[in-house]
Amino acid sequence: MRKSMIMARRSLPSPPAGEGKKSSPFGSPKTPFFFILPILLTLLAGTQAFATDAGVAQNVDTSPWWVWPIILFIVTYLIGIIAVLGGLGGAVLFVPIVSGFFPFHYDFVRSAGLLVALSASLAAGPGLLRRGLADFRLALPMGLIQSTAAMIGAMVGLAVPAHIVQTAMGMTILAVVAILFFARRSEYPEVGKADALSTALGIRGAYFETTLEREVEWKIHRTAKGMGMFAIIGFMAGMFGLGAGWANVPTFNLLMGAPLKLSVATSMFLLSITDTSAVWVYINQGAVLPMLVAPSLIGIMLGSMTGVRLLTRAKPTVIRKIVMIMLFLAGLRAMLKGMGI
Amino acid sequence: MTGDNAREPVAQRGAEERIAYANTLNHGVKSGFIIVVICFLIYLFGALAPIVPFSELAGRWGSPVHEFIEKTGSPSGWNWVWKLNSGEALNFFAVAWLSTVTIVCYLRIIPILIRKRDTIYLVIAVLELAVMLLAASGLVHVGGH
Repeated sequence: MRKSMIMARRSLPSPPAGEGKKSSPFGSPKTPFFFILPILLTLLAGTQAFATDAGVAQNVDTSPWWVWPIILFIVTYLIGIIAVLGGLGGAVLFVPIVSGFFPFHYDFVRSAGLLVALSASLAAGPGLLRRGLADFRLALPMGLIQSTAAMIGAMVGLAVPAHIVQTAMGMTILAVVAILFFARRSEYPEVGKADALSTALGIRGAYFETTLEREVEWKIHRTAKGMGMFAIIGFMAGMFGLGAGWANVPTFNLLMGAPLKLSVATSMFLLSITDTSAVWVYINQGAVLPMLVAPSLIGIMLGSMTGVRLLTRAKPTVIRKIVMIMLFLAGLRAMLKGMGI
Repeated sequence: MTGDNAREPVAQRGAEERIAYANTLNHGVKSGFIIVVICFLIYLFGALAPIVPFSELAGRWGSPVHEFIEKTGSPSGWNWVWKLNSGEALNFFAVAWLSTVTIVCYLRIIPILIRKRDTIYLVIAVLELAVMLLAASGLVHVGGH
């Protein structure tokens, strides 16, 4: 548990694109990613072959039941490592990969995705809050909006035919790749004057920045626009089961002007509020498959712990590019599967 | 409107409720993960009989949730409470525990916000609690697709 919190703390500041040495486009052969990626791709290719043999296309899986939780555990363990190294939440990788390559129905995968995101966020929460990195007064108002929207998104997602939602999710993942590719982050955005809404809500603060060895004071602007964005993000998080960190961070950082480290930490904490309301909708629908949920949660947790150990040897910019390629392929696969192709 | 919090130094603002929340969250999540692992092992090793035999499970998990429940009799809503002698329902309990941690954390900070007369955040916390309890209650019903 403590390690997973450390993981969350360590993965907070994702270095800006282009930072660091670039001696080789893919890092040294010792880079852990070199070993992890081929294993993951082989496993996913294997699941496809297995699924085809077992007749998954007709939703009649005759393969031995124990095979899937074992493969799932290994794949989610690797996703956990990659998520930490790539500075992403696990759910955004988990949902397109598991829905695209595994035989479980998308209803169950979405629910498991939200539980994966919720668990990671819950585990990171105490450490982030105690250190003052996740800001309570920034998170609570946004949490109210986002969790309400996520609950509605989950209801809509379960009411709409799964193949349509899966196709839309695949498209969203492709949009996430574009966001990751184009969005630039700002360590300490310039905020001239706090807006009236954030002033009324008392949203401003300070945290101790260890790299600068001083306290950084911050305030935000464009709060109303930010709230609108959080409503949209929350709706999508509930509908697709993706978590929301991929969109929360740019909203806090680029739109509202919160420092990057604070944005990442507050987004991580915010997920625990957002996903709680959405996941209850899925639980009440009975969309919890223990054979999918438990190996995934345990795999992601253990993978995250391993990821923390590998973090010092990894090259963030290279990993980020490979994660983008993986997301692109998984999003494309999910979209095509949703379209019946 | 923000009561005592407005008079606190910027870096300390909301520290009491933040730390109280963090401590409650810490206890909840640690116990939650232990419960998830134990419940899954009980299910996996058949200490409690599953509702859906493992041999049938792989043939069913590709179905939409409403069809899965219809054909297997798996729990939905709060039915799992009455089926806790089955492996699946026990895992519903584990998941429900994790999903309740945030609700308990909000319950923990509300008295602090009342004492500090932090009206705005008290209203936000109460509304948030209402949203999460509404979602957890199962009163918001979803039409099957």
